[in-house]
This record gives sequence, C-alpha cells and structure tokens, in this order.
Amino acid sequence: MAKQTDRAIAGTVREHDAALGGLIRANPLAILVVDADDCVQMVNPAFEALFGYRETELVGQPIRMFIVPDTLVDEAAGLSRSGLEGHTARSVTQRRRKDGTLVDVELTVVPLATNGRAIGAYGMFRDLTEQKRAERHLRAQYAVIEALANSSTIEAAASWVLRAVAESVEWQVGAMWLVDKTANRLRCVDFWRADGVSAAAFERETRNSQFARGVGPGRTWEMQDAAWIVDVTKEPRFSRRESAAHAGLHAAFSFPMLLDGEVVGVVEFFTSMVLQPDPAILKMFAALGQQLGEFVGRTRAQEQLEHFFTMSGDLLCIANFNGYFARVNGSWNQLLGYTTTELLSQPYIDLVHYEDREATAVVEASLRRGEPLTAFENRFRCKDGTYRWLQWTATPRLDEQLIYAVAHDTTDRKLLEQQTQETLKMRNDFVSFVTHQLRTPLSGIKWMLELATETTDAGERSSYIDDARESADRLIGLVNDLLDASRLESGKIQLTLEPVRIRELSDGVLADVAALVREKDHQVNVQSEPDIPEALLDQQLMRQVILNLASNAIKYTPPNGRIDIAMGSRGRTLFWSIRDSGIGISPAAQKRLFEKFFRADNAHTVDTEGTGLGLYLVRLIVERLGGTIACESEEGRGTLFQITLPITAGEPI
Amino acid sequence: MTQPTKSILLAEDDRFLRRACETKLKQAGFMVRVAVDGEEALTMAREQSPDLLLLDLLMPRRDGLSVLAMLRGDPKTKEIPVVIMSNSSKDLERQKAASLGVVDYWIKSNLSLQELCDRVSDLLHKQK
Repeated sequence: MAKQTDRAIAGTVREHDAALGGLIRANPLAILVVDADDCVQMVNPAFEALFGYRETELVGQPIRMFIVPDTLVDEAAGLSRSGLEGHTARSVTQRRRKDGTLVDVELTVVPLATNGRAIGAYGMFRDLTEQKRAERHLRAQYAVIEALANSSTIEAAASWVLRAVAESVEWQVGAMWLVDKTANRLRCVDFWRADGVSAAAFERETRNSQFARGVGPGRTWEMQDAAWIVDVTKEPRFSRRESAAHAGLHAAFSFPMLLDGEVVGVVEFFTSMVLQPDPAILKMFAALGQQLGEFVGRTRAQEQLEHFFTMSGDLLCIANFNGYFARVNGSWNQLLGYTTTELLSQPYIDLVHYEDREATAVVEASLRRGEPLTAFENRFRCKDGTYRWLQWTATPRLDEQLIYAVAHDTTDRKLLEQQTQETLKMRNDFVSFVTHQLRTPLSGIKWMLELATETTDAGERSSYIDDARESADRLIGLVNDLLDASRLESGKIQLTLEPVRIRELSDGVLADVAALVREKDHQVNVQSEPDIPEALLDQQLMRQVILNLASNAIKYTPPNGRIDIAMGSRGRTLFWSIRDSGIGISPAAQKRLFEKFFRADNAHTVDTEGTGLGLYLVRLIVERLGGTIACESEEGRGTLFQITLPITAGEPI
Repeated sequence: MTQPTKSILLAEDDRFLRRACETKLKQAGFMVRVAVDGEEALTMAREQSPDLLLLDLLMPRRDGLSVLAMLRGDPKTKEIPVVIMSNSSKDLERQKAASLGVVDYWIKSNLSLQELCDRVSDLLHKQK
C-alpha cells in the first residue's frame, strides 16, 4: 500500500514536472529542482548558463557537491532543510560556477509539496553579478572621489584610490605610476596590496622600477588606452613576471590617467586568477582614468599657485572680516619674525603701529563694504619691536567674508626718502653755513681794502692792509679745513708716515699757542711717561689734532683756567689726553660733538668764529690713523678728550 | 652829513668788520658806539637809546634776534630803529627779524663801506 502510494506520488511529481516543465524551462531565472534527498531532479537552461553545468551532469547528484562553496556548506544545508520542511527561504549569497569562480545570487528556496508533504524543493537563483558590480563600482567611485577630495596631491590620494578600486573588483594588488616629464619615465608613486597577500618582492621591484614609453605600464602610456594581460607570468614582455609569479599574481589590467588627451600617469591592478579581459571593468576604468588625470591637472595648477603663494617675496595673506589673518605666506615670518601661529592667533590690528591704526580701520571698513584697496601704507611691528612699512593692495570677497591682500615692504624706500630729505636739509644747512662763514672774512678783506684806498695816511693804510691780510688768512684756514674734511671723508688723503715723538710734537704745539695761553692766564701742565716709543704717524695731521684740541681747551676755558696734557703707552698703543677746567659740554651735545658742522650751544657764547669743523677733522684724522677718540665732560666743570693710537699707524688697534 | 648829533650803536663781534664800520661811519660824522657781543649791545641800547642800532645776528653771549626781541618787549627801547647786518641769508632769520619790526636787513658782504654809509645817512635823514 505504501509502496503503491509512493509510486503514485512519484507519478504525480512527474506529472507536476510535466505541467510546470514549459514554465520552468522558459524562465530567465536559473531554476533547480531537488528531491527530498537534495538530489537534482532538473535544472533549466538559465541555470546551465549561469553555472556552466549541463543538466545531464547534475541529475540524480546531490547539488551541494557542485555549486556550494566550501565556506557556505552549512548555509546551503540550512536552506535545503527549510525548503524540505515546507518553508520558503531566501538568501543573498554566493555559489560556485563550474569554472570555480563565484557568482553572487539571490537564492529563493520554495517547498515542493504534495498532500501537505514536502517531497522536494525549487531553488531559484537570481544573478546579482551586474547589481553587485554596479554597487561595487559605485562604492569604488565614491571612495575615489572621497580620497581625491581629502587629498591635496595625487601622491597623498594614491593609496586610497588603489585600495578602493582594487577592492571593488576584488583584485589583490595595485600600483600607480606618474609620468616624470624631465626623465621621460614612469615612476611608481604608490603600491597597494590586500591584507594577506605576500607580494613583498613584487612590491619592492615595482616601487624601484622606472619605465620608458612602450615598456611595462609604459605600454598603456604609449597606447593612451587601457590594457589587459590574461596572465603576466606567461607574458615574456612583462619584466616583473618572476616576482609576480612568486606573489601568485596572474591577470593584470592597466589604464591611463588622462589630462586633456595626454597621459599623466598609469594605474595597474593584478589578481591571483588567470582572467580573460572583462569589458565591464575596462569601461568603468576609462572614466576613472579621466577623473584621476583631471585631478592631477587641478592639483598641479593648485601646486603652481601654492608655489607662488609660498615663494613670493611679497607678503600674501587672506584675512577674515572679523579682523584675523586666516592664512599668511612664509614672507611674513621672514620679514616680521613671528610664527604663523602667532600671526593667526591675534587681531592683526594689534600688530599695526598705533599711529596707523585709525587709518587702517578706515580702509578695513571700506574693504568690508566691497571696495578694493590700492597703495595704502602702514607700519607693522616686528617681533624684535622694530617696525616695517608695508604698502597694501587688497580685494575683498563679500560672499566668503574674506580679504585677499598683498603687502610689499617699502621700509627701505621710506628710509631712503627720509635720508634724501635729511641729505637735502643738510646740504641746505651746509650751503647757508659755509656761505655765512665765507662771507664774514670776505667782508673784512673788502672793507679794509676800501679804507686803505681812501686814506692818505701811510700808517693807517698799512694797518688796514694788515687787517685785510689777517681776514684773508682766516678765510684760507676755513677753506683748508673744508678741503681737509672733504679729502678725509673720501679717503683720498695720503699719509706721510714718519717716526714721531709725541712729547716733542705736543711741546711744539704748545709753544705756538703760548701767546693765547698767556692772554688768558691759563696754567698748562704736561705729564709724560718716560720712554714712550716713537710712533709711526703723519706728523702734519697729528699736529693738527693736538693744535685743535689745545686751542679748544684754551678758548673754552675761562681765564685763569687749568689745562692738563698727559701721554704714555701700553704695549703697541699710544695714549694722549687733554683735560681743561672749561665751560664743559652738555650730555646731548657730547653725543653729536664729532659731527660735521656741529657746535655745542654754549660754544657760541664764547666764540662765533668756530666752524664746527675742528673736532670733526680731529675724529677723521684719528680714525684715519687707526685710533680712537673719546670725550668726557661736565658742564661748568671741564672736558677731557682721550686719544688712543697704534704705535704703527694705519693698523686698527 | 650835516647832522653829527645822530648816534649809532654798532653791535658786531668780528673785530675787523667792527673796526671798518666804526671808522667809516665816524668819518661820515656820526656818533658811533660799539658793542662786541649781544649782552653788551642790549645794555648799551637801553642806556643810550641810539638813533639807529646796526645789529649783527650771530654773536657770542646773546644773538641778535634775542637782543631785538628784548628791546621790542621794553616800552623804553621798543621804538629804537634797528637794521640787521648779517652775512646769513637764511629765510627763517629774515622772517623772524621782519616779524619783530626791523627797518631793513642787509647782507654785509654785498655792501661796500660807502654804500653802507650812504644807506645809514638816508635812514637818519628821513627820521629828521
């Protein structure tokens, strides 16, 4: 009875099959029918096409022996069980083709029941390859876009790009190459390999390789098109084939990074399988190659701009409308001495000279209204406390609330302007001063001669002529001083060096001025160390120094004063000093004492004939002889001048 | 030339110019007194109220502009006619002198003694 019943049931199944036969065979879904033992009853042509098996190879065999990957045995068993127990089950999973490759499928298991008893199951497979591929490509594209967006250079993006692409096609190794235009070679920028892939030797070789046009990845460069190698280990022209074979890599494809039709780089991928060219992959990466090429172009343009920004000797900056720098280039650091952080962390107005802040605030306000700025000048404080003049050109961007500005350091020009003005003033002062100084003795000569012409008295006439001659001598003295100063200034004066005994020279000068000393009843003391060596000096110039200082001491010391002259030597250095009990020199005047034409205020109270050239000449001569001069003084108490000279003149002490 | 009673105070620190001026003006019949620096000029001007003060600018102890200012600030001396005689042709000094009220400003080296003397005569004659 049971046996008959079974036979009847089997008959029913066959009838059922026959009835569904047309429907199943014509179905575009891959469909499989198994019996209660999970053995194949039938498969449709779509199944044969998807998995590569003929129906005759499968009928009567347990299906798990064929299309279930080793890792999915339990999952497959579970699905079969639920089908045979009368439940519909669905899974997105993978199954294996006859050629060993995996295929993504959506599998629906539907029970095949008769009289409420499960006697088998249908398995319906929807091929998800295209969908999965589209998803992966989308993911890869997204990952690439993200990598590019977050990177400023292709070098920084390379590793992310390689990984995103390789993972999307499930290939294990990728490398990126850039064209080095100077060397006309492809250089490896980055190399990526999936976890668990042991391709160290291949990576090393790839990273160290350079390829000319037409060789290795250079073929893609030359062809400007994607290339596919089914198995690099069998490709004699593939130079890295040994290390590739060692790493277990076989199929390879590469595509060019294109910028305006020019190859700027090549990307290549490798997989552990031997694979025929896949048009879908090649198509996808043509678009990616374009994208990468354009990125390289953009970043290069950006790099050029960055280069300008960084290398510019001018001060470039971008400032916020809220008064802070947002970006500054390196020149700021070089010119002002602040770090970038210091510049960015304080309102920039704090760095502006307080006298220029109001004007700066005014131009800031007009910038914030959208008006561009040219030729504005202000001063910025350097870290060392000094100021630099900056000339500004700036453009506001209202949409960004930013000010783009260029500043040029005009300090030197400003200084030059100031100096020019000072020089002009000095020249004017010089002209009017010299004019006055020359006119006075000239008037004396002229008037004395006029009187001499008119008089009939011979005695008077000769007296007038004597005064005219004396005025002429003063005039000549002044002209000589001016000439000496000019020659010493230009360095044109020739030294006549000869051995000089400083004591004898001093005594000689004092003899010449003895009359003046007597006139004022001064007391003069000379102290000299014994055995002062002879010094190699220009006697004429040295005499002028001593005469000038001695005359000053006599002139600027009230009657009955005291003048002390002292001299000596230490090693190769000669010392000479003169101290008076005169009117002294104010501290302010001491600072300018040795300047050309400078005369201390109190000097005029004593004498108006001074030219302001005496001490200036003294300094020029002493310096020319390689020595130094210093002054100490107290107003109302007196003045001390100290000179040091090398015993051999002309050499610095 | 016929008014020997006119008195002139000559303030000049350069001894050659002082001697020449003094000699020439005396020959012309004026009564001439001399001051060798600014302080002396101020004192003598106050004491003597001369008919004309010939005032040098660059002098020891007190310069000419200061002497002029002191004289102008004193009712007793503010009417004394003053001529600046300087060898400085700085605009600033001319302006200062003009603002303090001077009769004229002469550059010494541009004048002969005779011209100087004629100008002085003209000025004093106008005063009557």
